[in-house]
Amino acid sequence: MTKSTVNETERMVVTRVFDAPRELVWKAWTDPKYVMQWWGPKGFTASVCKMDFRVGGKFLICTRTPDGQDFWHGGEYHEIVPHEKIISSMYFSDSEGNKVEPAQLGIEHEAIEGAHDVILFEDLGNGQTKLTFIGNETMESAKDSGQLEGMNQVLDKVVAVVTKLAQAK
Amino acid sequence: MISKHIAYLVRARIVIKTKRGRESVCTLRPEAIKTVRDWAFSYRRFWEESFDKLDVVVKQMKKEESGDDKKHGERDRADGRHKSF
Repeated sequence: MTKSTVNETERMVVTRVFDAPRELVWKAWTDPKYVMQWWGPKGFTASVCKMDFRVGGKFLICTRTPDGQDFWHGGEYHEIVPHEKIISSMYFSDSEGNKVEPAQLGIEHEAIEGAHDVILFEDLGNGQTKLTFIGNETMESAKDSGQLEGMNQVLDKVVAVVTKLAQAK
Repeated sequence: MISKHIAYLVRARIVIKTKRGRESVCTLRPEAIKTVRDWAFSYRRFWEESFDKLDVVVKQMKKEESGDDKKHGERDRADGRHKSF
């Protein structure tokens, strides 16, 4: 087994390739108008979505279950690298965005204190975008994630420049 | 030390320890594992299915954007300007 496979099983990672340019996927993720349209599993809707999209800014989303129950999720943006990466946290909240312990809502779920979600936007170069969601990271490892991808992109650019130079000869 | 590992499992209520004289008997609580599995499953489902819907939204956005481009193109032509290809 390779190292990355081990990482995949250790962490909660969800990836998806979208047939759209990165700017568009970024917009769909960061504009409440669009977030409301895709938030939550099948049959769930977002009845409220407020986003103060900046570092230190907060968001508040009301998730409505198929049987009409409302759950409020609050969160905060910790790091934003435009079109590349977002580090945010999410927690259960009241309708004002104040943190609520899941047990109070009757949810058997112990939130990991200080856990962060990392969302990576990767331009695949053919009009497609790879989105990677990494859940429950510590801030330290959240900061490190995506740097390998960033490095690969830089290397790709170097390769492109080198190829061009070689052709010009 | 293995006892330290077991202590964590006991604290997490995944293992139950019972004393039998000088021996400790450990019993696994599979239902505790199920709680974790259920949580992981619903967590993953939340994002997988959100991504399904995001795919639909992004496709719609793409359509709208290319529709806008067409409109711009028409306006360009109406202005007598030409796009150079």
